[in-house]
Amino acid sequence: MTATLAVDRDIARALGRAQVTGWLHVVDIDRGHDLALGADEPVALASVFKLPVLVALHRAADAGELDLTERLHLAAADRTPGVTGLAALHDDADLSLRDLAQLMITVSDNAAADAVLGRLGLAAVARTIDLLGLRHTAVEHSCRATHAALADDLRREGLSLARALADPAVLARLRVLDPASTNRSTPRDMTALLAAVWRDDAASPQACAAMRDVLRLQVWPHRLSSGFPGDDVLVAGKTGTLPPLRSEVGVVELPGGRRFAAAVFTRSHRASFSDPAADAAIGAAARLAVDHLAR
Amino acid sequence: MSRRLIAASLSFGIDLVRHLRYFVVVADELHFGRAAARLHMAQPPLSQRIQRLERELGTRLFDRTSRQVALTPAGRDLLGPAHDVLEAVDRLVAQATTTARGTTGRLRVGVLPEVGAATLATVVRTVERRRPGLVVELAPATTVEQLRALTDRSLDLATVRLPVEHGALVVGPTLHQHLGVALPAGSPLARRRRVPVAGLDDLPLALCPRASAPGFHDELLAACAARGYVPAAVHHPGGTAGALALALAGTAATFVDEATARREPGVTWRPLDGEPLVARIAVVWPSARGGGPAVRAVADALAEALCRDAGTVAAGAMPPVVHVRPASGVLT
Repeated sequence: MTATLAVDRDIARALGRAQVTGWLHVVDIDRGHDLALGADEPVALASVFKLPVLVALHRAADAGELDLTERLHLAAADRTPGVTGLAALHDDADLSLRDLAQLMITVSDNAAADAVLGRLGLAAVARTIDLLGLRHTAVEHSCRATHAALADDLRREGLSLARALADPAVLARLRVLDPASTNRSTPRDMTALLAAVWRDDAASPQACAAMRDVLRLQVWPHRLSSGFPGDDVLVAGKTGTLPPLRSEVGVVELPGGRRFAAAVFTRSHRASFSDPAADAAIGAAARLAVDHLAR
Repeated sequence: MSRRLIAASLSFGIDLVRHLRYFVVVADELHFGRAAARLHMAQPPLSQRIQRLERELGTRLFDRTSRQVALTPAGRDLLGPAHDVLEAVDRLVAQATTTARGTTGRLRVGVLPEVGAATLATVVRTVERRRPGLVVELAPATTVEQLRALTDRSLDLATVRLPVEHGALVVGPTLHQHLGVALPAGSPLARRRRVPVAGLDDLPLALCPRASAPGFHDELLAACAARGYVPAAVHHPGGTAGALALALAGTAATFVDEATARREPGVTWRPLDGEPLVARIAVVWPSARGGGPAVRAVADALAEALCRDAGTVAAGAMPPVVHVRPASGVLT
């Protein structure tokens, strides 16, 4: 009991030092014991919504509704814009569904995500969420729709996002930051989804293995991964970024085989796009929780 | 109060409270013309009244040359007690007004300690004019103290340095304060018209204690680092006066707004070269307790007074520069 309080306090301190408010759930995938801090609070998913999309895609392939090697043509002019992957490239491209899914996860490619979602349909994602029992999760908007909602709100405020970031009163009115009106979940729902992927419960064993491989190829080193620098630790995950929101959900596999699903969502009090302290706090908080649970 | 002191206070041949008000305004402006303008009077009678007060107190309060006005050591010593007396009088009058009217229209308003008395007086006067019967109690306190006081309900409004955790707060008017650097007059840096932040080099930095406004503290250090200034040490003197003292002694650099620096004789203030350093100040109140028209009126009066007297501008007057990196982009 005392130990739990101590780790709670350490996590709160790590988050406080980075000037973020945090919500997290970390669970031992095989033994089930866990650490929760606001784990049932609704959170805006930002790009973490690409994880349920990935799972829904593989379930659709399992069911024979689509073929992962099916190729999509993505004309440059029609693609959802973004700063990574196809979303940032110049020319038309033809890619298979599974390669698009890989870009969607590994570099959070918004164009690839919307292409996958377009082929799959929001209804298929909703069915997956329902069948996996994620009662507090909803994916109702594509990247393009989220961009549009943000642009609408900013136009109404007459501000750029950078300006809005500096004004807490405006931030409080942005729909894309409000879990009630954007893609949403809870830290506990997200660790349940990850645990299902790691236990082969989310889809067929082959599909779950493919999803784990893709999640382990995510390029970002600054969040969960930063808390587990050892070469002998595997970190797989998906980030979510919509300043002031920063998050990552993922799985940490320790030498010796213990596996932990972690979902850390933060909201920064700082008005900046770049916030390395907040990024690192996600890794630090997850590390404190995993160290505590792994004792 | 002892019998002797009562006798002393009764023996003043002048309206002491009125004369003390003249004293604090002149001390604030260090300029008889400007002080007179603020007091809505002509300069000669103001000078006469200050001389009269000096005679009654038996000591000179100001050194006057043809070029400038400065507080004497005695003047500096007496300024604090003068403020104490005036605050006590204001409280007495406010209490009497409330009692007389039988109203309970009272708002307790936190203000940053570095905000000058003149600015606060403007707030009080504005509220009195716009909402007669509403009594404003001003409580100087740091950002963290004020936020705590909002939580335990000993304040109704707070004036805080951003960023703060704002989950349970309504953030009202937000102001930007351009910071410059305070230097001793003889400093080689003071010879420059604008001082680059990186030019502060290896000078230690004097900064409000982190515990008083952690968000502001960390943001300022990060902004310094981004401009190439990583102080060799960070000193945390209590309050702006302490920071200015270290700056005057030449042992540390400190960032302040121009209005605050101008109140301190001997301090040379220089704007910064390059991208500005901006402190953000906001009037906030708890969302749970709502913000009625009285709260709004006080918030507006505070923002207006700060804009006029404390070198702040309404937020949004300056476009931020943002280069979004892939890892911090929207939806990554």
